[in-house]
Amino acid sequence: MEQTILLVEDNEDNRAIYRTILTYGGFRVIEAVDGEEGIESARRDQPALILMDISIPKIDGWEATRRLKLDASTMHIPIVALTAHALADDRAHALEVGCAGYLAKPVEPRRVLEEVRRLLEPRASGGAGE
Amino acid sequence: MSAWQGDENFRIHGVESDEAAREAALFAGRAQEHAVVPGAKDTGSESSGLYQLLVESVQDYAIFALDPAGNVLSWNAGARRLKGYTREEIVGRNFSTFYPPEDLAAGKPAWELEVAARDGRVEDEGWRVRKDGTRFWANVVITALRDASGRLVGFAKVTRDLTDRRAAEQALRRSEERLRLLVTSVKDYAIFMLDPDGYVTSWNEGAQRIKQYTEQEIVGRHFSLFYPPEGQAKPARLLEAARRDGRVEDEGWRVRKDGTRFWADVVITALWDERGELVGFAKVTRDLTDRREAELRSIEAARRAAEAEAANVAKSEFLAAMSHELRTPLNAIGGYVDLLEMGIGGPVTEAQREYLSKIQRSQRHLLGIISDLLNFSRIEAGQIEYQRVPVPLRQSIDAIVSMLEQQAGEKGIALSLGDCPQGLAALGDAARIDQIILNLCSNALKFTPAGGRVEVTCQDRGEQVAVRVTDTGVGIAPEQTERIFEPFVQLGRDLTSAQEGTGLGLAISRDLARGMGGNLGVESTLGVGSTFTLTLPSAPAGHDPAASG
Repeated sequence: MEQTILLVEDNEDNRAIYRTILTYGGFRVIEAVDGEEGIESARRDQPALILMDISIPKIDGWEATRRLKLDASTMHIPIVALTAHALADDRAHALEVGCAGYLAKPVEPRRVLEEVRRLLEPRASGGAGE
Repeated sequence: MSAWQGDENFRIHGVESDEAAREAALFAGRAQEHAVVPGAKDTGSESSGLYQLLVESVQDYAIFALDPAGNVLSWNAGARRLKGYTREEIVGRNFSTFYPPEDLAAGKPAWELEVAARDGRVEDEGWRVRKDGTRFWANVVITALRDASGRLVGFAKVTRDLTDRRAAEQALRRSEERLRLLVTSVKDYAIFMLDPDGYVTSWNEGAQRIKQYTEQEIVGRHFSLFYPPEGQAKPARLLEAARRDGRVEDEGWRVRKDGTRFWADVVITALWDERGELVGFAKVTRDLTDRREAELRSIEAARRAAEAEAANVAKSEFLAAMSHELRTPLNAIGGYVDLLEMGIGGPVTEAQREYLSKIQRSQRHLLGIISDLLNFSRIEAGQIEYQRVPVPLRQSIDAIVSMLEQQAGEKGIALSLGDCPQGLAALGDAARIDQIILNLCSNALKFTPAGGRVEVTCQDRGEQVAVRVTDTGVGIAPEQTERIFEPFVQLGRDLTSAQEGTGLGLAISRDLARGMGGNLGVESTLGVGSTFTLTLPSAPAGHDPAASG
């Protein structure tokens, strides 16, 4: 059964690239273009994992992550933060707000796929996703 | 006029004679009316006996009678105390005995009797001589005594010892003189007086220096002269305020004689006499032009600093925004290249794969430049905060060497970790230290030809630790060893066009090293190789649990 990945990213090119590699990797991909939509979709669609860009409109990725981690219906979903700046502070912040992983842009698609697999594989046989 | 009248010790007092002395003289006069003849004192009435007792008992005034020729007829307790003679010693002697030689030479005693006889009385202040030869400052009143028919029968002489008062007066005069000298010679303050209407009545050196008028030029002029045309309402306002409040202070522009302006701090104090009448104003003016200009300069400097700071912040924000805008499309380029390479878009030919790898290399280079630029501007703007934790050097170097081993192997360079004591730790920011060492090692690999060696060592230097990266590369000419730390200077770029890099690596590394309290330097011999030395504060031994790892 395909696992669903929620991709929260406002840049169209990035969405297309991550969608392509994840689909290629055997995942179902749903998309949101801002923090509000992302939170809504996470609650409604219960994805197996969320790829969360940090610089997104309305509610930024940090705040969206914080809210999802406080919500009983979404707190179990692993979130991978995608930041535009390769700063040590960002890595620390990502862990602080409860991210399971952290990828600094620019990141090659294959690294995204690897990271998603790393986080989902142990649970793949456990029936994570829908 | 007698010579002694020029004597400064001699003054004839008209209206200022002391009230007590006058009364004593009156007593003496009456006593003498009844006792003009020696030996006749016990023949008087009861009241004259009382007068006599009174006069004889007075201690503070010498009160005695003289015959018309100036010979002493009587003596009292005060006379004895003041002059030191007993009655027996002095009665019958001439009163000139009490005068100092200079007065005698000038004929003063006789002259005084003459005046007293003519005018009824004479008053004098001057030195007198005691029996023991010492002098005292005396106030003397000599009153002519006449009988009922108007015949001169003698003189009453009342003498007071004013030595103490004179000393006090002289001290006061000296202190006034000192004060006057002080005020007139003060150069840094204009100190002068105004009359109640604001006309200048005195002037000092400071006033002349600051305002350029001489005393002759300014005394009698109105002080509004010192105010600029637009400030002509001010002088009257200031005097009014001083009159009302006793004192007023003002700061502002004033005009010198030559028309130039100075920034003045002015204090005007109202002066009142003992009857409460305004006698004028004391005005103290300080030239604060230098201070004012310094203030204006520092305000200007602060404004410029704020502008520079704002410009710096704007620059940083611009760089951050630009960096984001540049990265986003670069990210897409890299992403699509990766997808193509993975064959997701279909099979890729060898030639296409090669082109893709060139696109990728250029994309990474561009990303590197953007990232370095952003880093450099952040460091230069002082926006980097450094942690201060013990960083075990051997572990850091080991990790970096492992990371670069493959790259070194591909280039045929022997990269190794040399001497580096286990447990040696720097005090600083681990990520920044790694960044510097990585930069130094990458540079060394870049500029070392195949078959060369790159060795990393570390040393304990007490207060500091040093990390040394030694290569057998192309080397750097002595005159270039400082230039390589400047931004965008990359030596050998023209020699080896294949070298990648932004030209910011060493500038950033040195900034980072200095930001942590260390430094970065180089020793090099052209054609032989270079040694870059990173120094950092050392961490106190035994505080790093990771050091044992």
